[in-house]
Amino acid sequence: MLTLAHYLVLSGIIFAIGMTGVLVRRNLIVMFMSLELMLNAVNINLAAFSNHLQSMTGQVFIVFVMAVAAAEAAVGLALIISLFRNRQTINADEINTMRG
Amino acid sequence: MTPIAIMNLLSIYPEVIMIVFGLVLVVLDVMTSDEKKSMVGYFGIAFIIITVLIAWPPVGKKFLGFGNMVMWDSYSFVFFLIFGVAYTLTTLGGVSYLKDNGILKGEFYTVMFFSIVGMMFMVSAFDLTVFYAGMETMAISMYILAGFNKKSVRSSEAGVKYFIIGAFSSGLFLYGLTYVYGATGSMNYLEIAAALKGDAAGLTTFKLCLVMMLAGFAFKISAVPFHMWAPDVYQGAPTPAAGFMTVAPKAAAMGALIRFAWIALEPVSGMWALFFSILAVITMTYGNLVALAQNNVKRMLAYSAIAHAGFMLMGLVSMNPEGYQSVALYALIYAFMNIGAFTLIGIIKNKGMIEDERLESFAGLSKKSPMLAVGLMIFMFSLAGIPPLAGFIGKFQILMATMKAELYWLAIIGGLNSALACYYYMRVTIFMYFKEAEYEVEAVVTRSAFITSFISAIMILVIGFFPSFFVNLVKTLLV
Repeated sequence: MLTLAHYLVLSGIIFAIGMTGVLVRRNLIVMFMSLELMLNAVNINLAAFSNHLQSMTGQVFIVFVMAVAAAEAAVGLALIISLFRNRQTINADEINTMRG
Repeated sequence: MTPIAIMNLLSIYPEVIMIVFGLVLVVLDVMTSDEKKSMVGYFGIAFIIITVLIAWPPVGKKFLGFGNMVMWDSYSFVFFLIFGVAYTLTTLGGVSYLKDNGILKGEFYTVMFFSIVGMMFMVSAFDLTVFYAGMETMAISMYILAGFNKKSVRSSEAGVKYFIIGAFSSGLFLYGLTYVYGATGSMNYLEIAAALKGDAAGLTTFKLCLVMMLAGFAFKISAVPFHMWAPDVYQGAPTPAAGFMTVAPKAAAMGALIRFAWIALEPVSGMWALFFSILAVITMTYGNLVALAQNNVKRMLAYSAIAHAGFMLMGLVSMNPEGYQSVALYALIYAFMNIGAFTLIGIIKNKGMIEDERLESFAGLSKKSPMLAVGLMIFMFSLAGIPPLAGFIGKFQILMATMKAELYWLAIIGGLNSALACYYYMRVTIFMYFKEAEYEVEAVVTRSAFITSFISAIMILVIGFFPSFFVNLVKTLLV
């Protein structure tokens, strides 16, 4: 029998993986994929709570999160491409022309 | 009693009008020739003025629609006014910079216009769903603006950095939000407040996730220790976009945060007030200390923007009506002085080896272009908070609100910080007036830049010399 706690633990693990990925990995595309993992963890959480509370709000919110994630993907990939055209790299460590 | 359908419409009609006008702008963009893309921006200004006139709310009247999800009242209106001012000044002042860098495109104005719609939804949100949608509309537009100069390495770097960190902070915010939803059973501010009055506030997970959610917020207003994106992004972004980004999204985030914190989190005010007062202190102090060491004026203004965000946070934690009135006034004044300063910095071009915005480029400007030097001096003095200018009025109001809340220690730290800030603002003035020019610098004050800085400077002087009118105006609008 799956309870609310199972879903929360699962989403917690996925969120932790995503967060570590963003902080540790240096390839922008991988960082971006990790960001998507974080959002997916959020979606699992929302669905679990929505079921638990028997309220629709959480499920509606998932649609918002997915729509925003799609828009973010479009803009984010475009920005990464324009950076690649200028620098021929997508390594986060090499993005350091500005230092203060 | 107004029927529900009409109430719903009234609660979002300014946003609806803005969206329609935004779509018109897209069409206008296609119809204008490449040389005249600034017309799109000017039409945008006209549309915003029309919307301001239509949307002027009756004082004290509140339109709450869609099952208590969106609220249009004078509070939302005041913030809309601030965004409108930021848009107008950026559009007017940015034309020559955009033209010189070959990025005078209609999209610049359209994206900025739609970001305002997002900000309006953010401030008028009464529900986390609406708030999130508005915040992302704003944030995604800002990523585009930061990376708008595709040919420039710095601009695309700024865009990518802003994007990664912005999306990361949204992720944190959302994860915290899900637990707030789980603990309270609702996304609505009023229902969250009602649930928190019960036992939901006692849960440890709730406290932890509230901190996560507020940390996501802190990223947006670039509060230390969540600020590391800000200097790079503001330095790399095209100068007009940077001016816009330091003002409008920050005002939107503050406005939305005030509404969220004061209504939804009102029962647990002790928890977040402490969190934000600590954040305010470290943000101000860190921003000012690091700004002291900067040699690039644009980067210095980025750190000063961090310090100003800390100052605005003081108004938030004061927890009295004076607090949010002073934050709104501060954001308005900040829009004038900061966009004015960014406009003037944008027209300085160094012909030598160093970057345009290095401090050394400003040496001897008073002889070369006296008008520019006077304008920049007014903005710098105002940012520093020297008494007869508007910046002082803004700081004074916030300090008064803090004193009224009996947070004397916070007010003292705020006062000390504005004294500290004087140093680096004065340094620019000293370079302009007392140093000999070392490099060949071109600084032609174009007509559009002149108009922008003239309007900003006049507004700064007027607000500075007749503060009571503006203070009362904000007070009557934000009861």
